[in-house]
Amino acid sequence: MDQGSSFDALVSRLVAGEVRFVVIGVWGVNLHAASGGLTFRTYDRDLFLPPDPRNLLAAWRACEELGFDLTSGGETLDIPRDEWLASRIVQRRALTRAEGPGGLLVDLTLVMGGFEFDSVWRERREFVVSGVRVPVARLMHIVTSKALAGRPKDHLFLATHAEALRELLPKDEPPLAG
Amino acid sequence: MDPQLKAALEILEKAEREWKPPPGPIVLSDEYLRLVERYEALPQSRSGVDKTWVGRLIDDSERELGSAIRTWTREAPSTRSSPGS
Repeated sequence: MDQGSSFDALVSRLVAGEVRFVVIGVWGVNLHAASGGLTFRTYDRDLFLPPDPRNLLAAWRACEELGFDLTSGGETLDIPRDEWLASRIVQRRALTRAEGPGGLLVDLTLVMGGFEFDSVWRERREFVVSGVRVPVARLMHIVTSKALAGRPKDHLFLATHAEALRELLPKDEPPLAG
Repeated sequence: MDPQLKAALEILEKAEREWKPPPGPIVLSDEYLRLVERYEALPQSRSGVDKTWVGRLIDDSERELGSAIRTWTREAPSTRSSPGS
């Protein structure tokens, strides 16, 4: 199974299980793409979840059912994976990494720089992927969060993204200032 | 190696070596923010649009890259020598 199919299967399972999440990061930007020129290569895909232990536990279970390996802080996630453990992870706002078939890496994050989950959820878009409505954070939220993260890779990404937008947006509007 | 290709690769290497992110926090320009807003207003950015093609495009691209054959290997800096050294 390739990475795309693995990811689609996971997202489909999460949606079917009523797990709350939004796609963020570069993969979120990719889902906003209007054409291939606005897609970007990424080594992992980020899902932003609310700080809700039951929701996180349901996400873990969906991952396990599809054969994903779960780690946190570089260590295999403890067993039993129950609500107590999920509460600890939520308290620490720790990230869970899920590694799936085809080498797919999915980060289940409880943190999105500058935003609370509910505000991102309220303004989400839902794009259809393989017949499933996938919740995706607003593009404005994703790029703002990347700017706040401020890592070298964010600088590069935002510069490239800005250039791609300038290339692809219709030029029939008055010149932009700034 | 073709001299033009070599020169281009050297330019890329130099840029990679010398690039540093600007100091301080990232400030998104008003122009960029307006571009993002305009982009979000496009029909392709509305909820309900089918984006199945995105994953397929990227998977196809990964397969293409995976089947690429390296025709040039960067020399390690320590192995470089100049005439007469």
